[in-house]
Amino acid sequence: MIRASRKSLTVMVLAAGLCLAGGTVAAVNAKAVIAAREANFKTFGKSMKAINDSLKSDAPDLAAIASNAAAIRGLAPKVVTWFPKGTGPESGVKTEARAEIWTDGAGFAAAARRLEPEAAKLEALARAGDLTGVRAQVRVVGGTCKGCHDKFKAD
Amino acid sequence: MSETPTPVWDGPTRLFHWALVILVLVAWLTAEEQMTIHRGAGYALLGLLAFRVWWGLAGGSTARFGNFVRGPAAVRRYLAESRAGTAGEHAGHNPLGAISVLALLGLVALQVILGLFAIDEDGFEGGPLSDGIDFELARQIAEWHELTFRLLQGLVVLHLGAIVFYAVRRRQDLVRPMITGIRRFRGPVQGLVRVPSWRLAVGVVIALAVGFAASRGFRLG
Repeated sequence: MIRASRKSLTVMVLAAGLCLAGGTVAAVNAKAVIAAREANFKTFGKSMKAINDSLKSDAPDLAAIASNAAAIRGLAPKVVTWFPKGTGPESGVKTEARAEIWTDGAGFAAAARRLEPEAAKLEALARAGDLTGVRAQVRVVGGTCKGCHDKFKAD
Repeated sequence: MSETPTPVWDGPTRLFHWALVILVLVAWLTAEEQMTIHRGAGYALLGLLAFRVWWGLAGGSTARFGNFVRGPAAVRRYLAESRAGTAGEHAGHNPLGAISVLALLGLVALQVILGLFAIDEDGFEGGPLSDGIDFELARQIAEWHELTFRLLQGLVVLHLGAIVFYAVRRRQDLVRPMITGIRRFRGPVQGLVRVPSWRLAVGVVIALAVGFAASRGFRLG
């Protein structure tokens, strides 16, 4: 009897230990995922800034604008993969991702997927040398960032 | 109790004060949303601050920094006299209020200057000088721009608290004089000494020039 309960105690301790370890692993993962996606979003920001800086200058560099637009276009389809379950505010890791990303998964995916085609249009306009078109399309691309952020990003 | 209505704030100082209130409110309400208006408010604020510096050197007597900015000893003396109820009446900022004025002006200046370099998270909306620095630095500055605004909010709350304190505990209405320019004192007090209006014209030109230059990112020509 004593033996049995000691055994079950051992099992319980082991199980508790495993749970703790599992929790730690999940927390580390959430942290890594969040850090990686923040770095990715910074790449978007950098590319957008490079485009806008060039447009503000006296002689906008359309080739540079096209390559920055291409960088955004290339990364854009991956956005939806940067938000695995468990990497939201409930993870305990500091993140500006709002819970709506997961509660309204379809809405989030639709908003995030608007970026790629708009960035592709921007790239095409820049390659075609259409500065007026580029200026207008940059606002559309910026609007897709903001449109998604307003709903799905805190702050 | 005979009361002597005495001029304390000249028109430009009062106009500056209320323009500052309105522009800070506009900048606050448009932040992150109506960025064209937000930037415009920032340029106007920079022009307004330049005007205030000019007016602090060449404006009416109560607006002059040299007349109201005091050292720590004078502040301590004022605090002691104020508590004892022996602080004499005078037109203009008291030595403690002077610190508040400098802190508010300095913080608004810092706020606006940081805004010139700040950029939003999308790399999309930025100040006119954000194109000269890289994204990460501009983002860092944007975060400071938010932090200084929290500090500014704190100072404004303190400012309003002081107005309520003077109204309730000292029976002094500080708001009406900032509207009418006139304050009633119990006895005769040396009031505002005005300056000729060409100095106002110079101040307006300075304000417009600084505001316009800021809107161009100080790149003229």
